[in-house]
Amino acid sequence: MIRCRQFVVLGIACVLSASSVLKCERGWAQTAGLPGKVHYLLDSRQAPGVVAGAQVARRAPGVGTFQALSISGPTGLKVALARDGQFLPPLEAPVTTGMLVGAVYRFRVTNIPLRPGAELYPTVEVIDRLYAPAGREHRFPIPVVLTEEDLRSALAGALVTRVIYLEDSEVAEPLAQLPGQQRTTDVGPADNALQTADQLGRPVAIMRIGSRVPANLTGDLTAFLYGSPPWVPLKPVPDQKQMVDSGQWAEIVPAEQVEQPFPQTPTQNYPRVPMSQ
Amino acid sequence: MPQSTPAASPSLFAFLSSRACRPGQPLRRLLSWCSVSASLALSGCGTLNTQTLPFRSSLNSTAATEKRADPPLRQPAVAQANDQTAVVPVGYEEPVSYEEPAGAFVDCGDGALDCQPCATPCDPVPAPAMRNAQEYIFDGGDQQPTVVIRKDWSQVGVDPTDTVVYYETLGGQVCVQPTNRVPIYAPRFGAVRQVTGAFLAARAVGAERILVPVSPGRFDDTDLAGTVKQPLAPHGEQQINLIDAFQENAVGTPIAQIVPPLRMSEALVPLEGSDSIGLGGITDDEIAVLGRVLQNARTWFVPESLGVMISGQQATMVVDSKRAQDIFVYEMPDKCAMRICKTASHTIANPGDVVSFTIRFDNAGVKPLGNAVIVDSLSPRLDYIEGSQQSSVDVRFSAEPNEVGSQVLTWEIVDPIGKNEGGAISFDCRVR
Repeated sequence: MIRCRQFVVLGIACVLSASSVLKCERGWAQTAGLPGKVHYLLDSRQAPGVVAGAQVARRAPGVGTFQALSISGPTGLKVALARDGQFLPPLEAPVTTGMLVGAVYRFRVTNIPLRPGAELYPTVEVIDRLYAPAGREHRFPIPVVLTEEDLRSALAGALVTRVIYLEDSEVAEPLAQLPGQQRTTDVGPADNALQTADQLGRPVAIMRIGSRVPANLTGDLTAFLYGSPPWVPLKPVPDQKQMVDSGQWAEIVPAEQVEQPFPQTPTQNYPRVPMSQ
Repeated sequence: MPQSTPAASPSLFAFLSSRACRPGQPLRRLLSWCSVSASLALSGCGTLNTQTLPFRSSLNSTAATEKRADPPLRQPAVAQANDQTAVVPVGYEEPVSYEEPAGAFVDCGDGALDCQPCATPCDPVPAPAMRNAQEYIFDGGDQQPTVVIRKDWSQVGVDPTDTVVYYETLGGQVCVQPTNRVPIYAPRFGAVRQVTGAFLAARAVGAERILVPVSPGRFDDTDLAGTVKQPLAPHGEQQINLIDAFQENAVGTPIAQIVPPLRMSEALVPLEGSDSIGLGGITDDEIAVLGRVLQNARTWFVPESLGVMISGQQATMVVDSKRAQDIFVYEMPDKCAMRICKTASHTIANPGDVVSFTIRFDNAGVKPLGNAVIVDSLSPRLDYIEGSQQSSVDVRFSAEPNEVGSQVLTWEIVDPIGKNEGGAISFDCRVR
């Protein structure tokens, strides 16, 4: 009987000590203002449509609206979009379209450099949108870049997943980026690329290039094309150099360093005039 | 599909019932088992029997499967607080609502190749007008911590994207004035690449998972972004103070409003018996009396009054000398009166574009300001083009790297800025 009481007392002490430890841990976490553990529910290795479905389920802003995307790749690459369960005739990249946020699109890629006859069927999962100024939405498409390395890896049987994210301008890397280029961060197969992208910015799209091919191209491709969600064709937007050459954009010539460029304070009657003129 | 919880209670009931009704058990044990069985029966489990259990179990599991197939929108947390794991959805930052009219990037359904606003109702509805600060490049203003000037005329707290001017007044006061914040819409994208093998690829593209997506357990939509900054357009009018001359030239209080001293009223006591005081009028015969009592009153009752006798005769006293009617006090306050404004040549830009910035500063006060220094710490997305800066006044310019890989531009204005004087500074940057 006495031994039994000792066990009871010892057990109560253990429970109290364990609860105090848990309370201390929770108290530290609340004091620090950070969650003790963070678990990312979504993963880039999940099937296409899972992340977009979660965005639809949580009623994320932008779901159901069109977002401009630009599919680009090596020179000569051809992209065929799907509509009504069938692939359309291919177009030469870059191809700019408006795709629905919260949908999965599959397209066919042909005319791959140095791989004649080979074709791939990547998917693009649009999970978020941009908030461009009104009327300028088509000028800022989400760049979906198909590099030669990615295409080569996919043809070799690998699955290449690219989570495209929007960089936070205030913490962005101070590296120059030319038009058409995209800075890429590689992660291992065991990592969550979606989590990494979420820490670097805001994920907006997921592209997967795998070796999956349809069983019968002339058959029912509804499941293979994820229901062929609608998309909107968009005109390609010229870059600044093309607009300057066509006279639609004022060319800014970098000013030269001079001792006293202004005769007086610039006013309406004496505006700033570049010294090169 | 694991065995669901509702099927476990009938199994327990059947086990207890079989054990309780076995003959040969002691009466006390039998009563205890039967009491347990009765309590279970009253709780609802006793309505089942062992033969109906498989059907009920499959029914419950089927219902559970159908219920799980329908993705719930809002359900309790997955972990049910059995540990401290927090479920964080990807891209949880909510955009900032903005009052600009809704932009229309919609499909009109007529095969239009442009995304112009639709005049007629179309599907889907126009996108809500919202902005996201991550898509903008900001330059200007003074973010926390604010800029502080040391005694050695060096500054601390100049964070990236800050643009301030600090100067000294004639009274020695050090003033710091930030500019307005200039937003430029210039989103930049990156990619995280992951290459997996063929086995994982075959599993990752399994189509059956698309039909039954794993639904989120909880998404906390109330976690709004706390540090999202509204990309306000530049409002130069809000930064402009009124001309200080109108504010500072306050008219002094007229001396007529000053309450006279008490002794002046006491001097009127001898006059109370005269008609001029009692009746409000004056006659010729009282003029001499009035003159006498007035003189006496000033002699007797005003302590500062001085009676002067020269050779036995009273000297003439001037008691009605004129005085100043109004007193104007001009105060020249030592006030921070610099007005500074910043503008950009473009509101949207792509990587590689050149954007020109202009900073306009003026002395809106009534005193000259000296030792003015304009500091602009650029965003990491902006690269200063060497030799592109221009200034309308004589300055000493320097460009030093800042902590985010860009530059800190500094203009030290050599000459003091006089009243109603100012200048302009411009420079070019390339968007990264």
